[in-house]
Amino acid sequence: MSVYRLYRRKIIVFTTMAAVFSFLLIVLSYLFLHMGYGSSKIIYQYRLTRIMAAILVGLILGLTGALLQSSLRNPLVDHYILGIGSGGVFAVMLFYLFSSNAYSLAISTVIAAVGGLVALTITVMVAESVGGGDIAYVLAGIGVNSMFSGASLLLSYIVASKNPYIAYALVGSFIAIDPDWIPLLEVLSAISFILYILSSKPLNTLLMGDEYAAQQGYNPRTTRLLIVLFSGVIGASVVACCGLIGFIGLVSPHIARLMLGTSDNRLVPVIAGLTGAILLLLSDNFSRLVLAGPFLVSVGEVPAGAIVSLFGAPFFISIMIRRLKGHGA
Amino acid sequence: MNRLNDILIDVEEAGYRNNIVFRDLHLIIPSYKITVILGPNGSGKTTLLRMLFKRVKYRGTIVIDFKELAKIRGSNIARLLAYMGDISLPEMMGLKVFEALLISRSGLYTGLIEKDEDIREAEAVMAETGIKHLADRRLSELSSGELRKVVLAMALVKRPKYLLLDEPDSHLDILSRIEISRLIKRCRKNTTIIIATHDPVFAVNTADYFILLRDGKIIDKGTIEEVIGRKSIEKVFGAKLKYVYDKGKLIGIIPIYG
Repeated sequence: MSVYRLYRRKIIVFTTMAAVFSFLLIVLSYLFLHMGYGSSKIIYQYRLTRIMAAILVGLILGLTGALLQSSLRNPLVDHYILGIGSGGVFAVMLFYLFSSNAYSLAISTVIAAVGGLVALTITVMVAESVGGGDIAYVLAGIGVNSMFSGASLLLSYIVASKNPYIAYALVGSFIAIDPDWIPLLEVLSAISFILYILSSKPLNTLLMGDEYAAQQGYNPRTTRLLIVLFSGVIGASVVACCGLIGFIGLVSPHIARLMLGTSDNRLVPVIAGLTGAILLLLSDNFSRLVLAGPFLVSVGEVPAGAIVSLFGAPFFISIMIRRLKGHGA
Repeated sequence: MNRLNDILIDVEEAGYRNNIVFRDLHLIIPSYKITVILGPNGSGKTTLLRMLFKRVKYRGTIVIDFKELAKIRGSNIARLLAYMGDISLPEMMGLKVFEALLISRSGLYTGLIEKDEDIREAEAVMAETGIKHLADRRLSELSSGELRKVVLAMALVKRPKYLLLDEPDSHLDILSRIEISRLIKRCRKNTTIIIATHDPVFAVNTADYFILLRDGKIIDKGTIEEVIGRKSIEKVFGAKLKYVYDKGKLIGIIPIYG
């Protein structure tokens, strides 16, 4: 039947796209590893590091955003809306405040993950206590987000004396990125990819309801809990690297579903990851080349997170309006 | 067809954390027949169905496919039976009909991509249930009648030994009910079918065997003649009923108001 052939072709086209993208990423990683500190410092330490960080963070946020949306059956959430990112930022700030070992990447990543987890737990508990609907999650998330954002802003004034770049953590930026982050981000991308492979089939059954998933042999509660937990923690971890970048995890899965014409979780998360990588790279490049470049009146570098919010927030509002009016995508 | 495939339920207690639904439930559900669990709302019909795929905790023994249910792994339950109640899909995360059918077979193949056999089965089931023309439509765009047929197809595409249908007739007009009833009857040959419904008309026109349930207790069980002879349907619903016969065959039940 032609429908199936079309479907298979779509799978092949997008799998090829993902493979090409992964290949390019591997080439970039190879270049990155081989150039080392000895070569041109500008290219290695600033340009290549920044490009790779934007790609990897976008990939992680897009992919985990798709997993979060599917596991919660809620198209309005990502790690920013659920407050996970703010929880991570707050924990990192707190860590900077009390620790002299402020630049340990692994430790600050773990701290961010723990902070994200705490925030996620609060959001889920609050949302579930009022019925667990889509809007309940959004509203609970906004509350948790505001709480941790406010506390982080307060702490940032104190921590700024130790780390002048800390204010960037509140909006999300690659300006102060260090090459040492790249291997860590690659590990996190690999973990998100493994999570995607393991969860795509159970997520497809969860889409159609808990009872449906149960008769397909999956425990819906455990499956959902594990996927939300892992994608939340991974999403929060990247906060330690580049700060809080919102909306990439929200927008990318929608674009992926629109391009694919389906919600099949064997395709959506990986294409959402690619979309996230492209969007974040474009946003960062726009800030670096256009806003700080010679073309316009130079305003200097604007954090990528701010640019993402410029298109992400209206997108979020439009999805919410459509959702509340009861129209599908 | 042997009786080894009958479902044996011998349960002391079953239910939810704060709500025991069944006490001392002893039941045999015959294989390769259409069994209807008939009873008013809140009688425990859905709980009984959910018990058969380990969604309800129980103390006792349930034997299905000649094995103790507690010892059957989740992946094997997926191969053995299909349960279909209401499915709800967030509109923005819509799936198309053929995708839903392929996903329904996802427990049967290993790896991420379905095999040719899965696609063949999906095509065959779409033809059997008359939904081929809906293949490329989103689930969220279907009418209630179309969705019910698709839901039935999603259950059948697994080619289960046991088919559990929770109110397959709900929210349907008369013609759609008749069509669904016909489709279910066509599947009886190779499958043990258990239907939960509160509509006696749908039940008498579809089923071979009746289990009448009220407040978690079995009021009666047997063929339609047996349960009517004992006036059990009236007892279960607490209402007066008039039976309509055509050439000696029961074709309908009318509740008497007032």
